Amino acid sequence: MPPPSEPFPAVPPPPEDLSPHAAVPPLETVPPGGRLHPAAMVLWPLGQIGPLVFLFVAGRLQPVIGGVVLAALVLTSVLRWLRFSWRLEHGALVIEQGLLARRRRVIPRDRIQSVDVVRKLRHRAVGVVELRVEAVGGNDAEGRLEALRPAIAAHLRAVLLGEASAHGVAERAHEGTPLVRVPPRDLVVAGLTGGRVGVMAALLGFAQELLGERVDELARRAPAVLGLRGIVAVAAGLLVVAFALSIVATIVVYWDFTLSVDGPRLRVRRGLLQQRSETVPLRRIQALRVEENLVRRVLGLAAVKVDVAGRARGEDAQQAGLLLPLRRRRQALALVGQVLRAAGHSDASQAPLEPMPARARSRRLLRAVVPVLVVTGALVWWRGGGWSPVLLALGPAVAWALDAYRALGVGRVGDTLVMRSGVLVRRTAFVPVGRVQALALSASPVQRRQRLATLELQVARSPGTWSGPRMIDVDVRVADRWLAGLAREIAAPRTLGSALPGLSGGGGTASGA
Amino acid sequence: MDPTPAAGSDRLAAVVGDGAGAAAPEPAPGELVPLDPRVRWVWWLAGGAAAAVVVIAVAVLAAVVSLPVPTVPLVAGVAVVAAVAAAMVPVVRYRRWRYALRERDVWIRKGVLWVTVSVIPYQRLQFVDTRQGPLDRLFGLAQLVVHTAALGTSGRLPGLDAEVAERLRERLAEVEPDAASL
Repeated sequence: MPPPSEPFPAVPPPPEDLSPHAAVPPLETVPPGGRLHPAAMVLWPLGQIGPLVFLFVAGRLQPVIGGVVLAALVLTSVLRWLRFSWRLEHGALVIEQGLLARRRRVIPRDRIQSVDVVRKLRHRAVGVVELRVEAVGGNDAEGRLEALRPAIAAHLRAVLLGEASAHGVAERAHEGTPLVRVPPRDLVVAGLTGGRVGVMAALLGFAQELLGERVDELARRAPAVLGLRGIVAVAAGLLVVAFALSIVATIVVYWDFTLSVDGPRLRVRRGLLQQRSETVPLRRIQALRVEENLVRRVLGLAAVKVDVAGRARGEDAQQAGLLLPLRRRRQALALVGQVLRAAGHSDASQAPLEPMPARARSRRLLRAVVPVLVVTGALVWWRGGGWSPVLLALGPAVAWALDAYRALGVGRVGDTLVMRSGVLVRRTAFVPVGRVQALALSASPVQRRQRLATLELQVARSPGTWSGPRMIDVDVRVADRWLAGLAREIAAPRTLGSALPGLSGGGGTASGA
Repeated sequence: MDPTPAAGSDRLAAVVGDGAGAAAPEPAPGELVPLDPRVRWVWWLAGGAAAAVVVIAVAVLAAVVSLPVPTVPLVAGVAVVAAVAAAMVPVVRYRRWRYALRERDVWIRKGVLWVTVSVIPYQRLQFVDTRQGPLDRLFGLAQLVVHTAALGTSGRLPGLDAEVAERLRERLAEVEPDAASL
């Protein structure tokens, strides 16, 4: 394991005290709108051509049919390009598109949650970038400009994030004060310990798909051909390959990962083949979380993620929002503290967490032990044999339950609530009270009998694997008081104290007319 | 069992800070009102239809596949259970479902086995819908659905008089959302 890397640099100065940014001369040729870069007409078919090539290589595609499909793809791309236009109008991004039905999308600047610049391999081949604008309430990327000249994209991003007006351009020369830079060594560790099991499983499934029915035959003949030692060797080889793939995937996605604070916003830059630059205004942060999976927990390592509203579900929903791929737990918490302070919230990274009542432990035990007893009991009853497997299975179940109970904890410092839970992935969530949209207190029949309840804090996060911040198995009387107290806090008219100092000028200066 | 539940609770309450000691801001029992009683008919009809589907599915399955259980008693048993559930669940559900429209927030209490209390401040509302299914229309009812910026639907009031729902929607739409919460 790598030794802890150097500690984080000091907290950057407060947002209103902008660090000196060299202003670049205005881009005299940036238009206030227009079409996409003509390269889009090449990029769109390239994105859809994969299955076609696959079929062609597999010999399942007649060249004539392939040619017709290809021509159709190119033709629709040309039409699509002709019908696609974007412009800046009173500070709002307006996108008009649609082959048959014309669709007009207006994204006012004060609804924008994050702006990402993406350069996939095919973008790099033709020298353009993609701009993704995320706003609240969208299922797909709200505004996608799939091919822009890099200079136009940078300018547009600056305007949409309120860094520059559409006319007086103040292009930033650099990316702000770096907080985190992840060396390749850490990425190797991240790949080794990461939860990319799903990726591996998908790859193995793909291999099975390729081999088709031959798998069964191979499986039948394998013992005879390879012998026991051979099978073990093959399995070990597959495992090594899976880990190697995981490492490579991690390195490719997170290469040169840099997190920086640039005035009132966070920037993440990463990627080897597909380069991305994500920008999240600090005041758009809905929640932060420290995540430790089982392996990383044993090694004392953790990752940090940020929750932002409106991020698209899809290819990289998992990767977006990562602030720190892997560091020592202590450093991960320090980063959370820095970001919370920079965003004007209370630093709760060192908050002591209160455990839940002992009744919560009984519930955890019940939840872990009963299913195991039922399943193993049924197996033994059905297959016959001794009861020792049941006892054997109970051990891990009890250990799991106790670990799950130890994970539960809740705390608060100032306006930041902290809650922790989870065994396979232990998550410590940090939620500023002002970001809570609604509250839900619920109790299952068992919880009701044990006078426990679960309080869910509903925040404007993006769809993903996480089920959201929840305080699990709180004493029901305490939970009632929290529900009432928090409800009053979030429903109260805001006071100056909870408004973010110095950040209010960033967004809503103009909305579409 | 927890040796000192009270002490532990108070320490926990102190962590969260608010609420303790102050005047209880949760709705008084009188503030919580039930849904329109007609909604039970909507639930009975919908539940009855679902129960019928289940019974038919089981009957077809029993006819096609040879099960170790005799067909007629099986279908009859399933039919009885489904009918009882379809008749009883709406009653319990109606009795549990209460809501309170207060000065700054709406409280909704619901659930048959899993009981949930939701609180949604008006300031956090992004938009408010009214919906009317065919059954709702039959009984002159409407659903009020409120959305915050949080993922998914935040609150639903299924059994409201159609006119009341419409008036409520208009009133709630007037509340200026608090943009700073995002």
